[in-house]
Amino acid sequence: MPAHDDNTPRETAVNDPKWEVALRAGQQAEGHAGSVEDELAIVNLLRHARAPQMPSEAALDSVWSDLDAELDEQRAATGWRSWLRRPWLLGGSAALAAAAAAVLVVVVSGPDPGPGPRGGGAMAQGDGAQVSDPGVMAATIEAQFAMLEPGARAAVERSVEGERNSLRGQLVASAIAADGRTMGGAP
Amino acid sequence: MSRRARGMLPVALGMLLGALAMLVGLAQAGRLAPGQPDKVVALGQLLDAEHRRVDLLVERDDVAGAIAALDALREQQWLDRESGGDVAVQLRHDVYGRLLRLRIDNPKVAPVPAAALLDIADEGLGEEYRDVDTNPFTARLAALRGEILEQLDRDDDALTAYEEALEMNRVLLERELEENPP
Repeated sequence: MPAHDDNTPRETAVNDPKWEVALRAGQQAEGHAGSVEDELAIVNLLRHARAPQMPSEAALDSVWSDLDAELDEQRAATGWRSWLRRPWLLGGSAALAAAAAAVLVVVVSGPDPGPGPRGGGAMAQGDGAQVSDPGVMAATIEAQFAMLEPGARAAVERSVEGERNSLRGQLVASAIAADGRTMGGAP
Repeated sequence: MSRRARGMLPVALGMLLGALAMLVGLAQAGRLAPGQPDKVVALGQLLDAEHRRVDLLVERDDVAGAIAALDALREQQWLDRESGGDVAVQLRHDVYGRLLRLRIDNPKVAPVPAAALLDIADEGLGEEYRDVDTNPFTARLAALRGEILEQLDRDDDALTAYEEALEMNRVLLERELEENPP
């Protein structure tokens, strides 16, 4: 007798629903004492192994949804998006934006023209001069210029002197490059 | 190097490059270096001698001579900001400011109409004076323009010019306080 002939009755026996019927009948005969669930589970396992059964579409969708959710959670916990979820980053961004807006407002609106000295002498009169008559403003600016003039003139002289020194250096370098004998002295 | 650190590296490099570009831009915006330094040196030497001459003329009460000397400087070839940098523009503003101060303070000496003075002020300031690094010479010339506008009964324009000059001086004061804290 061939091997598959030996297996055929067992396949039928395992997959035959009468197993469950017989087990339930035996349980009933004993007054529902004990449990046949373990045996039925083994029978169902054997049935599934022999003839796998696909779950329903709804069950599959549920499984995939669970998988996607789990993967998203892991990705968010380890990827760059996790940084965006940091509370301090959100708070810090808001504070930074507020600070930038405040700086812009201060820069655009300029210094407070209210009363009170800012510096000494004529320089401090500039704010008050904004509300004074034009003659006072002109006099104030001229006084400020008198204070600032020496330093500004010295700065311009330094700047011109710096350019002169730079040119002198270039001329010397050009002369040396044009006549190599000056580099090493007399031969 | 951790994975997170590797991820942040491009961001850090981008921030570094941005900061460098900003610093270079600010430096260029603040003070423009002359493109023709030899002409700046020549201009500086010429004006140094002319200022000394004007000083002497003013000391001798020769206001007309001083005005004529400064007026003659208007005819010379001035360097623009690109060629001479900020320093060349400041030198021009200094000469024009001195000339206008003498003319406004001495209206009977070689009299010139206020409208002509306004032309001189505009000629001296040029179109680029707002781009020049803040300095007292530009501020003074802007204020003198305000005085001339006042003579022309253009009070609103005069106030605008004064406020512009005061703002420049305020910047200079703040700069001074930063460099030499009280």
